[in-house]
Amino acid sequence: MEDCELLPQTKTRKTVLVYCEGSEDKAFIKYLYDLFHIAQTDPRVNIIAGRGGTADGVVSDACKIYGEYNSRIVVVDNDKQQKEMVAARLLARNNKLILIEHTPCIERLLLEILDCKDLKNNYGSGRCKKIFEKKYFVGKDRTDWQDYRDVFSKKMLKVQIKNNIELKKIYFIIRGKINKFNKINQ
Amino acid sequence: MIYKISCKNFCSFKEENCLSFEVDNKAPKNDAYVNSFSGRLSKVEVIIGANASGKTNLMKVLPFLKWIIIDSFATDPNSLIPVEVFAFGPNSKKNCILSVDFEINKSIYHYNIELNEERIYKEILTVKNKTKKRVTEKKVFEREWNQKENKYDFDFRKYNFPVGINEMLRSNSSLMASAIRLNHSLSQEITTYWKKLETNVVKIGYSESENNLLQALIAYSQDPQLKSKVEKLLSRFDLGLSELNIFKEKDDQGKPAIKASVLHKIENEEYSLSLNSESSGTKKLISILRPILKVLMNGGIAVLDEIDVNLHPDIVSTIVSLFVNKNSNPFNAQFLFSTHSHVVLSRLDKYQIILTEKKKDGSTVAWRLDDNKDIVRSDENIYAKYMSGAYGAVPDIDL
Repeated sequence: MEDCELLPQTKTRKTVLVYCEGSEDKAFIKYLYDLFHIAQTDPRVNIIAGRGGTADGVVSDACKIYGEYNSRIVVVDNDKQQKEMVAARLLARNNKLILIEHTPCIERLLLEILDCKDLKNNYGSGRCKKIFEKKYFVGKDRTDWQDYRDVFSKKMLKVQIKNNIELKKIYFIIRGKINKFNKINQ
Repeated sequence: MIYKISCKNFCSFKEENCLSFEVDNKAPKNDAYVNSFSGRLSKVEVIIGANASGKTNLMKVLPFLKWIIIDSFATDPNSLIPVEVFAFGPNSKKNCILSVDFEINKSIYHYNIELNEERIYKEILTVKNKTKKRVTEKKVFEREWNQKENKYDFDFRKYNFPVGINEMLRSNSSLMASAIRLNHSLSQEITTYWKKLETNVVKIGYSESENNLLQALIAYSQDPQLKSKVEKLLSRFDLGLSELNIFKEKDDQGKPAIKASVLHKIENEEYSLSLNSESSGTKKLISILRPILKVLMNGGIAVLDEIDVNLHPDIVSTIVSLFVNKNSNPFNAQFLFSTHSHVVLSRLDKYQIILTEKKKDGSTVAWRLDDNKDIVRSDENIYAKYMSGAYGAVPDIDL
């Protein structure tokens, strides 16, 4: 077909499943996807919100998502019991899933991106969540990716992708650059 | 919240069959389940089975109970009750028995009714309350048809039933439907809960008429919050539309009619198209989101048959996740639906899947996947196994 360049997708693309623990981390990742994913060239990335629960339960749910994906990524907070995280890592490895852990939670990453001065090294997930929602996300919906627009500019995120390794990993994931992700995830 | 329902000799159900939202502690501890007064409940249950296996009949139980509890008094006193008893063999002469367990404000009610087209033979309502020390169970009312004396025997001495209720009671309407006419507070509280049941199931089964779309448009035009929520969701489902405009216009015969147009944003330009020009999927979604959003905003239960008709399986899965997600479902609304979009099984647990099968005598048998004789492992690929026929409830096509 001569006009094949007019067709939206003329070749079978690689596919990536990003299975998030819940709808709040999905919303942020979806926002990054909206900003940085290049639909014409990047692999197809399917971002799904999980149902919360235990870390190994989230990995187990991700295993069940139907589809022959080239890569399956699971994103969880690791503010869980040690036993649970060990089980999650083992389950992910046995099922060839890549596990991305937010330490201790995605809110800490968000505060780091915002360069929050109130953030201390020893703050747990509860405190990080409280600071983020009270200081930066008042009146907004954590599960709506469009609400992240006012808080995280593209310019700010571009800078932080270079500086913040955890954000950089997510950036490679939403671009479907699994090889580059693997290099920094050693 | 609904705990469980059961039916016997109802539609295609000959024996007693039960549909339960209750789960034990083995069910995963995640947002798909909610702690209730007496244990844990699933927010979502799906009914899966071959065509003509009785899925819709199982879904008819709750809408029928809603009708009998709230609206049965509004019918003609001499009219027949719109209930279908099992049609084959000697059971066609027997009464049907329905029951439901539901929770309102930490009280669990058990309502049981025995009836046929001609009359209600027995109805009983009990309530369980929990104090710090114990759980108590009391009878709220009971009435039973006394064949010998050709009258009802009553027992409703407690709960302040109004004077004159005896004279009002009819053979074709429930006691609660009568009592709400006399402003009986408990009956009003119960009917307020049941009014939150939204469904597309009617007596003849699944209803997919233009009327559903019209009802949805009317509801959106009357409730700006509902309209704003549906527009937000529609814009997220990759349908290419961003705004829904509903207006009144005279039809060909000069009568006022509800019309709608949708706004498409194409490369920063806005184009308005008549809703009639939209795809069947778009129209289906606009229609189906009305009951879904209503229960998500107010609590209650959505009972939706054949939800996947005209919809992509990813949309069906997303609708399920709206009920699972705490933010989109702040009142723990429940969702009972049937579908042939079986890929949704990969998002559900064995505790959330009801299977239906037709037996040789024409009756339906329904069971939850965790009731299988062989244990279904929690890490099992339920979708793949179902498609292979491992659990049954698939058509046996002889062609």
